Amino acid sequence: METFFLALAELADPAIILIVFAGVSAGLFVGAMPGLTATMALAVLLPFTFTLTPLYGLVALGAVYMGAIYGGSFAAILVNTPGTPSSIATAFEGYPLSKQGRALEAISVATVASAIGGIAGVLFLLFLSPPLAKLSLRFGPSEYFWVAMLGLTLIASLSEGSLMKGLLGGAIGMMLGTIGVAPIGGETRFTFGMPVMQGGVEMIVALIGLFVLPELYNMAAQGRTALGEVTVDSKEKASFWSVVVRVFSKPGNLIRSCIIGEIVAIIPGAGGNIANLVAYNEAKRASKHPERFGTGVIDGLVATESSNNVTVAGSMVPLLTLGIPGAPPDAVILGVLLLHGLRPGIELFTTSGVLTYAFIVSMGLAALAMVPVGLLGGRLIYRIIFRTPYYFLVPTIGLATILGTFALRNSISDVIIMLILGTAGYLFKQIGIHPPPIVLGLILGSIAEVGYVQAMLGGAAYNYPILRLFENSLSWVLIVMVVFSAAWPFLMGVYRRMQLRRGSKENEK
Amino acid sequence: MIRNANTDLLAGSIGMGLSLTFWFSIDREIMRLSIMFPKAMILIMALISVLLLIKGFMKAERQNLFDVGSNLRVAVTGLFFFTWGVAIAYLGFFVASVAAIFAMTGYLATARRQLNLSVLAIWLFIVIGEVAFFYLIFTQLLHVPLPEGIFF
Repeated sequence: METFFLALAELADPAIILIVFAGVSAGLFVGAMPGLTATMALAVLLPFTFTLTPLYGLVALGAVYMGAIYGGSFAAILVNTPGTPSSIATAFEGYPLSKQGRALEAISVATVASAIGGIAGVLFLLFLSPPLAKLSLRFGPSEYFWVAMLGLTLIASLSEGSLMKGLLGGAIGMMLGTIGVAPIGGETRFTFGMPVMQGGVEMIVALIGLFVLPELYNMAAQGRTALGEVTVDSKEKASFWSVVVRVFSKPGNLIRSCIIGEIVAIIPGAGGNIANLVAYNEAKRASKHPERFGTGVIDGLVATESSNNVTVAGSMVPLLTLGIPGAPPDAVILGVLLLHGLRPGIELFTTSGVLTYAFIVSMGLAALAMVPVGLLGGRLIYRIIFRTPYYFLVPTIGLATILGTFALRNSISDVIIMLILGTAGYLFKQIGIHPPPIVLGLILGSIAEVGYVQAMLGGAAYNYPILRLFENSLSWVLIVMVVFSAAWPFLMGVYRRMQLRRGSKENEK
Repeated sequence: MIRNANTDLLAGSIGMGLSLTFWFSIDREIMRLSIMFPKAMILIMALISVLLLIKGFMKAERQNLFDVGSNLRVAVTGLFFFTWGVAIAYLGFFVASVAAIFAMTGYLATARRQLNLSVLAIWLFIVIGEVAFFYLIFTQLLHVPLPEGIFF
């Protein structure tokens, strides 16, 4: 408890408040732009945090993340184009409201719901992380190996496209992670005769390249940013307090959506993109008037916006306790933690407890900051976004990308590696191998390698050392989860086929 | 340009190619501890690739490739990025970035509007201002030394 209060004292610094507001504004700016995801917002703004103290850097990124997820609702409401995948369902209700001339009301509802969701996510993170971090003490090398495998199979099965291609992406990422010095043997591998490869592929370099460059190529291909001008009725008024009352008038919807958001957030690989759709669907199912959904129902908007913002802090539960990113943007946060020598696990809540709790609570501040930033500055930010042509945007984001990569180790080679990986990521995406599994493979590769090699060493007494991986009951729990998550897409396919067959038989009757 | 392709076959081939590349670049004198995990991963990657190849022949997933927008613009943008990255080492960050951003903006703008000299002149000033802004933030505020080339 003392640690927690010390963390609160750290947040009393005016610089922190300034960073929170700047971060939320920057995140809102990027997130409101269709095609630019929250992950991209974090990757692009990452270099600005390199020289900050660990706390300032983490607070800034947490605020950017929160602002970017919320920012996605602006484009969804005003032009029916989700700014980020986390706002897909927001467009279902937000855009019809805009067409009715209630755009500002929709934005106010999204703002309040997002703030509540953000705070709920922080509370979940505060209460769920410490016990899970204690549980992680029971994890040995083989358990860590299976946790890494679980993360990989989950993201492969939950990300876009086919499971096999997701797994291949993860394997490619893991192989990229093996380039350079071995974490246990200490020898260099796979340098292909190039001394520059001895340092390996830096995780943040890969993150920036794989997440940002494919989007820039997409924008260049389309020759636009997917936006058209929209007019907002300046005479329209939406009283903030009446909106707050409306959002809280159905606490069941709010609580259900927040819980759904958290459950989805804890699953590695599943973030706001899945949470908002599931919460929207459940709000529709629970409604007395489901037929009205799609015509501008406030409950739907509340469900989607609260659930997606829960995932911001909520998805950090597996990240801070086990080192497994709950959603792609968390990979960037993990990169920053490692950059500052902070290792996920129980130490993060004990030795570095003040920093960790301050970071967590700062995300709650960011959620609160969304209200003034969104309601007062939102319209101005949106006008700037509409007026920035894509031909300025692509090179400008490219500039931030190149600068960020270079600043990491003052290395031009890193810039070239980033460009190669980003271009390869764009090409791979064309054939269905998406960037998130590759990045997760790269992150989980080192966890899996250390676990695997240590387990093999520990199993030297066996005739078959690999049996060490199957020795403990906790390992078996994880193995069952790995098999289940890998089989999930097939099971769902079989279930859907059975449903279709049953439906066609009933039609025949 | 390929528009509709068997992506399982393509992904399997790429995976197999990468598996072979990594397998044959294993140093035969390397210690077991350093290579046991990569070897296991290469085998797993090869197995996934074989499964994808089999699926490609039996129940292929077909997908349209490179069918959104202009592929020429993507290729030229990529070329700009790589030239920019390499030029930083020779021309320095400031000059290379101004040249690359100005050229890229001009090229990408041709897809949306007509250009004339006065517009380009205004854009040049905007680009110089933008690069100077980032340059000063990184060198003065964040204390990141940016590469100096033949100019500054």
